Amino acid sequence: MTPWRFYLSRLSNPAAARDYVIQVARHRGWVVNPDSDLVDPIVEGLAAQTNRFGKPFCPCRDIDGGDADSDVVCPCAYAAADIAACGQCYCGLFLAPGKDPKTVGSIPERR
Amino acid sequence: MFDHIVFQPVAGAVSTRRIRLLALSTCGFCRRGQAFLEKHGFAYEYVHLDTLDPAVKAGVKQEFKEKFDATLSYPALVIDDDKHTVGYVKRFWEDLLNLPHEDDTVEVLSE
Repeated sequence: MTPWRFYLSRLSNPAAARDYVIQVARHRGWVVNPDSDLVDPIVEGLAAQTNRFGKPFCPCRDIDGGDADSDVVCPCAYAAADIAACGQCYCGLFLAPGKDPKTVGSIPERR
Repeated sequence: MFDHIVFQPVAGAVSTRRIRLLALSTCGFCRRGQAFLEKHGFAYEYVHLDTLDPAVKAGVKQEFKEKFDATLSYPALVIDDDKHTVGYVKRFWEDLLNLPHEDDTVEVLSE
């Protein structure tokens, strides 16, 4: 097993998935949404997607888990643009600094 | 609509309309939508499309597109097989369910 695949396989654990999310946000200059009612199911969803498909695919999109869905491995290819335009990613998991979590809701699909 | 799939019923005091929720088991906004319906006492039915056979799921997406001329994204709320909204934007759900706007601070993000 390659180191990368080993790392991804660990995300099947929700605690590891949460750590992954925190690291992504720190690396990209985003903020993890502090609204645990919304974020906890998303983190659990990332772990579930990793269990199903081997990668943390976006849990808010309907995917088949193949190569055609590589653009929506979290963080998805659209997150930066969505955060720049709406202050949040499609899931509401990652926010722009200063975004009020109370204003988070579904946004149009950019995919 | 959707006669070939099994929805899970959720009991509620308000059952004057047929409310159906098309959702993903991993999606944070889907959970939020369910919580909204339950908070307001609506009886409804839901299905997690990511748990369906891929061919069945494709049929649901096609039927939704033909009926509403819209691409299915999640959560999708369907009222009496006639009206719908996709995504969870609280104000839109309140409008669709004839509820007063509870919180006017919610930012509406739409196309």
